[in-house]
Amino acid sequence: MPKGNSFLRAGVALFALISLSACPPRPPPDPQAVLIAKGREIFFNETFNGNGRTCGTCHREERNFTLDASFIATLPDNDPLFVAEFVPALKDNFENPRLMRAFGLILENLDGFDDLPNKFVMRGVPHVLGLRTSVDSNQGPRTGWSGDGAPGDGRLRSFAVGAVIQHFTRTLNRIPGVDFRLPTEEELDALEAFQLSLGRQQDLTLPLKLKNPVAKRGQEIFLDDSLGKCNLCHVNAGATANFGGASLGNANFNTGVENLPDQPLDMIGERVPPDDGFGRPGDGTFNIPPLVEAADTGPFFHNNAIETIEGAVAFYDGEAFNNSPAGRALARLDPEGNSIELDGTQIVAIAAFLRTINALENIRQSMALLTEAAGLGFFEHERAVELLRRASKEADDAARVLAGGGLSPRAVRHLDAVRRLAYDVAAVRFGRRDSIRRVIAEEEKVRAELVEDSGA
Amino acid sequence: MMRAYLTKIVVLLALLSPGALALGQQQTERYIPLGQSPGLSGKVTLIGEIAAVDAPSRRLTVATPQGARSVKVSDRTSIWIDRSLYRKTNLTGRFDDLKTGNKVEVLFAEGADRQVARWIKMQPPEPPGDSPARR
Repeated sequence: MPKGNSFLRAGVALFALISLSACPPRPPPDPQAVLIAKGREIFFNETFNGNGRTCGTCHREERNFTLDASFIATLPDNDPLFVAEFVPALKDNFENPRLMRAFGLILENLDGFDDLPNKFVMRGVPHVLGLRTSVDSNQGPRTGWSGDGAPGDGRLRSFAVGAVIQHFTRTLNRIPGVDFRLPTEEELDALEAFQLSLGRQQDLTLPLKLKNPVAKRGQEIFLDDSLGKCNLCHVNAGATANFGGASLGNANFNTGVENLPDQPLDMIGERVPPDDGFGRPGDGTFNIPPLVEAADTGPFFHNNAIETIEGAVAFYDGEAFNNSPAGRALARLDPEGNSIELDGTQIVAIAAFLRTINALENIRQSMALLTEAAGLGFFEHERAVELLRRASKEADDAARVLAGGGLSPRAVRHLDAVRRLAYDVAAVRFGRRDSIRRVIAEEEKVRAELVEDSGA
Repeated sequence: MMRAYLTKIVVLLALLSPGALALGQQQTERYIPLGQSPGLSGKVTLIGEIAAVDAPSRRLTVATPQGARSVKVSDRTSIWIDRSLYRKTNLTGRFDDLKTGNKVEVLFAEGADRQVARWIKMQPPEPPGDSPARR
């Protein structure tokens, strides 16, 4: 063996030893972080001995924990989402593959399992971001589109039990221990911790000092209780209602979505029973979703009736809402008897506001992921790459959301740089921290393009 | 004044809807084995053995280690026959299925109806035959 080689190896070994001894001792793992990591593992990989689906089958991380038809079109035919297409025991009355592929709709037997061909509803997949701020109401926890998605005590922690029974079963007999196993208490704890860790941990405080004039005007209309009236049911663009100082928390309302004319699924000739919302029989009400995360989690409403955020805002100016119990209640309070009356420019302005706060949330999340990645050591490269990938994806979302509304082209340009830099940093092992700092600095520029006070 | 009116309307909308307090989704509850309902079993439900059945008044007496308790069964009470122990699908039951000696779990209604069962899960002592009419 050449002498030079031996010297080189000894040098590398010595360098490694010195590097290791220079590392500060790692603190013991945070128990909550461990629980969240366990919950993440369960959410994406645990099938509960069922048909192969996991929570992540429908709540796709790469689609902000929801699902839409364009993403579904990219999936292979053997994806567990399509079990009804290749598992004979699930062929009938488990899903409607046509509506799933066309509109991202999932079949639910919310009014019981005693008449499967006739008693079902078709619902979109709600994202699970910001749950920390969007579950509690004055009447207890509200989960799922109609607020009654969890069995047992109705808490978020119990939600997975119902989901496994409804969506993970091998056959329609739904026998625990045969068609699936139910989550353990420990698994429910971990799943709850993981879900609560996703997205925002607190509500915004509006108004923000927005720079884009259209988004700024949209925020004014949103907050105006005599014009947009949005803030009455979406306080600070979140998922809580507040009327006259009385907070209702995450309340339910009948806003008339079911009565929308020309709904996409009505037009393809599939017979779908009406969705009666909360309870059994249902009272027609549905749960308030948070709006900060709306712009990149469409389609909108419980039945994916509307594809765009502009269309979702416009819904509140239409007959279906104005004739609904919630719309009529608003009209009774209006001096001119109007519920919500908006013009096209005002609808677009509100949507521009929602796009902007969505992008700001994407940037916040991206920066948090980058900061976490910067704190990782040399031997945690894989974890760092994963965090950088997610940070880059958040930046990508922000760019799409802004560009989709023709907003803040300079911010979009900086976001392109963020994506590129984050991608490059993922390949770097040495000097990662400094590289990540440069990405964070670029994201600060994005924020500065969107809000006057970048700390807002 | 307008705000107060608004508050009243919305609170009414939110609170006076039928079943507004029934937060837990009941449909999948049917398939959850007796004693395993998340957040309820071992905390707020009553688990015991049917000691007596009073059909005319639609009442059960459930014996538990803590003593006997009377349970009123209303038209709105959901009754499920839990056969998961026998690896069979659970069925929707009727008052007539509730027999002395069977193990039951009872979730009571809230408020003024605290003696009324919201749901009852009954575990038969041996696997009964399938009854498609009740599925």
